[in-house]
Amino acid sequence: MKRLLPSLRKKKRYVAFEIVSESQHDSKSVKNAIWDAILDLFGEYGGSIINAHIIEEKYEKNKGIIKCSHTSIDWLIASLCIVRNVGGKPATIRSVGVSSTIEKAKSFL
Amino acid sequence: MVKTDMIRTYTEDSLKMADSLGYESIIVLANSQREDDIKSCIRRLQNSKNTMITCVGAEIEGSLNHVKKLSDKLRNSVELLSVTGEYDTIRWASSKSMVDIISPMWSTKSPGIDHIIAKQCNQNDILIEFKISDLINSSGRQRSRVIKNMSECARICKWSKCGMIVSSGAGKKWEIRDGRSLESMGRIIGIEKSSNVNDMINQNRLKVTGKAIAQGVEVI
Repeated sequence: MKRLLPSLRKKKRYVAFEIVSESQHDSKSVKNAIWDAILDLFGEYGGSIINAHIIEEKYEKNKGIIKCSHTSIDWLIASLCIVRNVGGKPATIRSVGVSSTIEKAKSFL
Repeated sequence: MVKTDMIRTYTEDSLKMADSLGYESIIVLANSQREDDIKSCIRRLQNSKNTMITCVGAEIEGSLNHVKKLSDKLRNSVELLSVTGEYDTIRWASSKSMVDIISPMWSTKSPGIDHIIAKQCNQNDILIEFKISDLINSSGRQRSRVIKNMSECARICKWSKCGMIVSSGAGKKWEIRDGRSLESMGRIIGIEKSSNVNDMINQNRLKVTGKAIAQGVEVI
């Protein structure tokens, strides 16, 4: 399949986040917690619009980056607000910054 | 971004949590049905050396008569007075300019904010508080009811130009949320801009110290 032209690709944003918790969490449990929150608040249709993708390579020490659609940043951050537990332990997720490039998003962490 | 949050918990842990979430200042509302509890809590908070607490207020809840009595007694000793309860209580509170904030019970079937209350709130400079903790602590059908109630209330408040404030309203340490999250949640509910509570607090401080004589007139 041929790659889409840059002008035809969907615009994206990178949301840098930090987990405020007493313990360290692995990327898998964070991914599950975030997706559960998105599905809880906006459902499957909302989830498809948000199009969230947690970049596992950039995740370390309770800090990471999520890629999402540029029109649904508020939806994603609101979903992060709903998270109460990560891996069965109480935690809250705080969004640190939003950027359109991954390099800039990394600078927030 | 929101730099001040309003919470109902006053432990050192929760203040540390607020600090780690990036808040510059915290408003603590002492809430109880008993007058003695509220007063002792206010005293303790006022003596606290924590610099994060910028304002200590009281939240009164209960029956209409109870709220009437307590609000008269507490008004002169607190910088912020919040009232919560059922329709009758909220209706009474909206007509009194001594009340600063109305905090509806969002998880009930009907929170009780209608166009009459919203108009009265606008006339008396009363803010309506949207507590995100009600949303966080609910799930499934109840959460959808909370969102429905909040968005309907936001629509009515917008129409009547009544002030709105989004706060975490946390009763526990883990219910506190950062300012950006509160802003985003507010936008989803339909609140474009949250009102500034600090102006109201400054005005109340002048009133409590006796420097404010009337609206716009103060002793320098």
